[in-house]
Amino acid sequence: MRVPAWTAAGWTRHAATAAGLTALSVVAYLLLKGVQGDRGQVVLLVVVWAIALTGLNLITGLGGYPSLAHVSFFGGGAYLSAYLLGKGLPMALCALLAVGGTMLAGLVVALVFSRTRGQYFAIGTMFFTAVTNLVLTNAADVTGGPNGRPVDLGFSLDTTLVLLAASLGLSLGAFYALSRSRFGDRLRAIREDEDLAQHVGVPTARVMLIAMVVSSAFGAWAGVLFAQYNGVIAPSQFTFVQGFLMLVAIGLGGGGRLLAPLVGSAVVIGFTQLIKLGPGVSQIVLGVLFILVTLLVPNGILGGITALRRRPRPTAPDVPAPAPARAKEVAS
Amino acid sequence: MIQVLVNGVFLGCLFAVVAVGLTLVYGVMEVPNFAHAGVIVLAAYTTWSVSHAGAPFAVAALAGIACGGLVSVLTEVLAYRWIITRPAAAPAVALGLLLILQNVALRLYGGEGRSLDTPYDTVLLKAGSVSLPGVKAALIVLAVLSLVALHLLLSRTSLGRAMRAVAQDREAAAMLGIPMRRQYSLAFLIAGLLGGVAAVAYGPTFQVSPYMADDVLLSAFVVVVLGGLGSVWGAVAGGLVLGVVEGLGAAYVSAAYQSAFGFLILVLILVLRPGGLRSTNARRVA
Amino acid sequence: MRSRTAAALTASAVLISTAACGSGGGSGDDTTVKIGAILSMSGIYSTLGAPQKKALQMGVEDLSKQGFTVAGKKRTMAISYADDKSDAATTGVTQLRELVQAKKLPVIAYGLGSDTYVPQLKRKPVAMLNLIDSVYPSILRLSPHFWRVRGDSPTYVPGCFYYAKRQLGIKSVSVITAKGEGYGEGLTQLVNKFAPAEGIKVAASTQFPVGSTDYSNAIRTAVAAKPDAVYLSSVTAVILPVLKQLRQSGYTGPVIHSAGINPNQAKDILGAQFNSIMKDNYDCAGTLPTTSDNPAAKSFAAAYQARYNEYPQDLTMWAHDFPFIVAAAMAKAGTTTDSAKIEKALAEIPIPSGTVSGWIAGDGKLFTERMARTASEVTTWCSNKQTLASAMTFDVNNGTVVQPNLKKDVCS
Repeated sequence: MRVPAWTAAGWTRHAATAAGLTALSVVAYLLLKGVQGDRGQVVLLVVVWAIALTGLNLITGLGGYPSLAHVSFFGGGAYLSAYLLGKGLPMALCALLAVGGTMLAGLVVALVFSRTRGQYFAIGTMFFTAVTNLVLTNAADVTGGPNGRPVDLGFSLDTTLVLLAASLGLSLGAFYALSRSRFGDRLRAIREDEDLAQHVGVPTARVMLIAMVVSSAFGAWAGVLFAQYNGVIAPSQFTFVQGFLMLVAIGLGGGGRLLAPLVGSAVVIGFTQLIKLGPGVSQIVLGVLFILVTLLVPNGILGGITALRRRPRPTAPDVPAPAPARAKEVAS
Repeated sequence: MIQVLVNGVFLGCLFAVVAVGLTLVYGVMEVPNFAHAGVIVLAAYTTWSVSHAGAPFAVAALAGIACGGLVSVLTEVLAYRWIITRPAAAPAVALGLLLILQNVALRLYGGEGRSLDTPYDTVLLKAGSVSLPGVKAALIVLAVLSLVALHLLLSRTSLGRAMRAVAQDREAAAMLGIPMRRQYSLAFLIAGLLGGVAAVAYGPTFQVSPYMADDVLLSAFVVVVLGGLGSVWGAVAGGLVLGVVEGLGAAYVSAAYQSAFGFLILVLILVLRPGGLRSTNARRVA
Repeated sequence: MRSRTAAALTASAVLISTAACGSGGGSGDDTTVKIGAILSMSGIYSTLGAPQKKALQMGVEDLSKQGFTVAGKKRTMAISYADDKSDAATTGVTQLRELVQAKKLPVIAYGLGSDTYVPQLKRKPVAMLNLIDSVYPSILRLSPHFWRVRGDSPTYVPGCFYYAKRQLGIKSVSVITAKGEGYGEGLTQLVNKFAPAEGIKVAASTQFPVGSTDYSNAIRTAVAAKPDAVYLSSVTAVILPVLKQLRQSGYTGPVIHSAGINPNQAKDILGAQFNSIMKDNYDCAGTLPTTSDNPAAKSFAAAYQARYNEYPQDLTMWAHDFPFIVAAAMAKAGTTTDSAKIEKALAEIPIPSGTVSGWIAGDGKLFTERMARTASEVTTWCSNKQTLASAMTFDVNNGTVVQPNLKKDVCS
């Protein structure tokens, strides 16, 4: 499955991926520009979520850690940029500070939680999101309180759309590069067996810490763009249910796979926004679907598709090597 | 001050009842049962609808508690049982179940808050300057009664001894011939019944709504971590500690950030002891 | 390589198909005028949105009976309803984009969340008429495209204390505020201003975070100050649970608020004990159609109650009149689509015929500085009849109660 990076075949593959992602950005721009109203909102949310979830795909997809804090980073970018814009700073600076500030918060969260495992990590990050939401709801002087706050428009609508479309391709590209680096291999090793990884010398806590900080940057930037498009932000957009739905999206898409954020967001957003089954029903369906996928197709929709395509030719040459065998090579 | 402490004890009893349910399930099955909040919500709505249909409150309360037990066992039979060999998938499944249960409640009863009436709604206990509404006193009584009942069950019956054996060492218990599936279902049944008790006891003070148990669940998880995952008496002690801390924080710092004080405690524990405050058994949490 | 490109194409297809789902398209029928309404039909404010929709439907039907003419053509009106799910920032602003950008409607009626709509209004201006939000400070300062079809809080809060002092003999009041809920916070500012103006001392002012379920801290501090009355600052769905816990805590004195609680809501939210909990309650807000002296409002109230079998709140009569107001503005502007011209005409129309609310005109025009208003009223709960009765009607001019009309034998 893994192609050595510095061969001709490797370069062809990288070029094909780059071309595919560029095409994806162009399609995204045309849709963002052309689709109005309700359906326009769906396109927007899918693109924004895909950008944000690319970060989550690092920590949850590659690293195997269920982070419920990601939605807080998403909200952090949105709220910080809105607050700074309100102070009259120029947009570019606001965006920079918002992403930087959120990464700093990501660092703090990572310092506390990167040493905890599995269940504790899920409980801890869930609580972090709950408390962040509590602050967004109650610190009304800064955040506008439970009904949200309007956002000054720093980018024109067209600039926002271009940035959204471009960020989609670039984020996925960044993930592609990261997942192919030694850093990506180390994350995979942690997912397969953290004790073994640690044993052979992978600095697991440090790798998780870096993954968390990098992932928060994706979330924050998506938040900045979302705030600019929507013109208003509110705590209800950044609740722990939303954080959980982000996790659902990665799980449904197929954790660790390049396009999991896009496919996962399309399914989750599509279910919650497009299918009008009455209050709650779409979320019930999502919950059932998510549990079924977790039980039956642990690699998600994309993994399932790959498996189906492989089945007719079981002797395919690129069957993934068993993970522990790789542990040694990533430790150095 | 005493008034604030009394409020803290009230919160603590609530947390303890919920947390004991969580920790019991964790002890035998290693599942962080986020869906417990959904069980509480459905139990509360069942009580409300039975009582709304004209039945006496005691009947409605029993129906609600029974519903809690039933739903809880259903989550185990339909979902958790299938991931027993894959603990890494547990948080995801638990959250999926929470999403389903809460939205079932939303679908059946709508999003508006419902008021649960009790015969002791208008009772007010007074001792000097300290007063305690009947609904809160009832919660404390119910909590103590159900925890004592649980204690007797765990310590005096063979069923309870088997369950403690499973919690201490699953493999060894299986080798000794303890029927594991029955233990799993039993743990979920007890947790669900306790969830039902919590719902019946605190539904009347707060409103019954699909999200009524979210805050309580988070605090209960702090209690579980505080007391050590899997430890029943740790959960009771932790519940009272957290209740008093949150009560004091709400009264003297800010009521808006009540559950944030729980989070501070959680962070402190995780920074100092990433494995939880008290490790009750040798099994590693992964 | 091929599989990856294929996957990218699949993903694009998913993106396109999700976008293409649902249905669009408008009608080509140009005698039907289409306007929009964004209401809170579900969620915490559904006590407001659901009755508004019912009243709007009655208004549209009544308008069709009467008929209206724009640019020489007889027209009928149709309203596109959208639910903001009590969350303007997330759902409401999406609905606004749908109604204005996709459906291109020229006038929008709406309820809460004015400030969240401002950035979108800057991108695409449209006339937005508010049917309920009387928050202080006024929403009208936020955008020149906002209009309000009712009086704001300063037109009724002074009446609370005028009445409380003269009829209830109250000298001090404790205020409990829902923190983070704009209407409640505005009310508290007004209480701090108008209670002392009547010589009533604010004994204690406490808060609870909106969304919380245990109000014991706020209630304890408020009652400990031993006030003659307690004022609860917020909307119905928020203050009724507080009222319940306030009574459970043993407080038996008068409770004042400006929430517009109706008997149905009291019963639904408070449960079986509602009649005893509601005792000694005073509500100062807009006049109710049921208790009004105005025959048009009274007959509307009767029709509403007969049709929907529920108590008509004050906001129902304003919602009923909304289609008439838009029709009058369109007729004057001579257009059914040009939002800017319709807005200009709104400022000039007199009180339209067929309206039932008893509008108070300023200089012969319905809107004064983009606000139209009706008289205000203090109502009280009558335990013997388990319903509300009017205790005083009044108007407010520059913060002073004028034309007070105290009723006698209120509950008999």
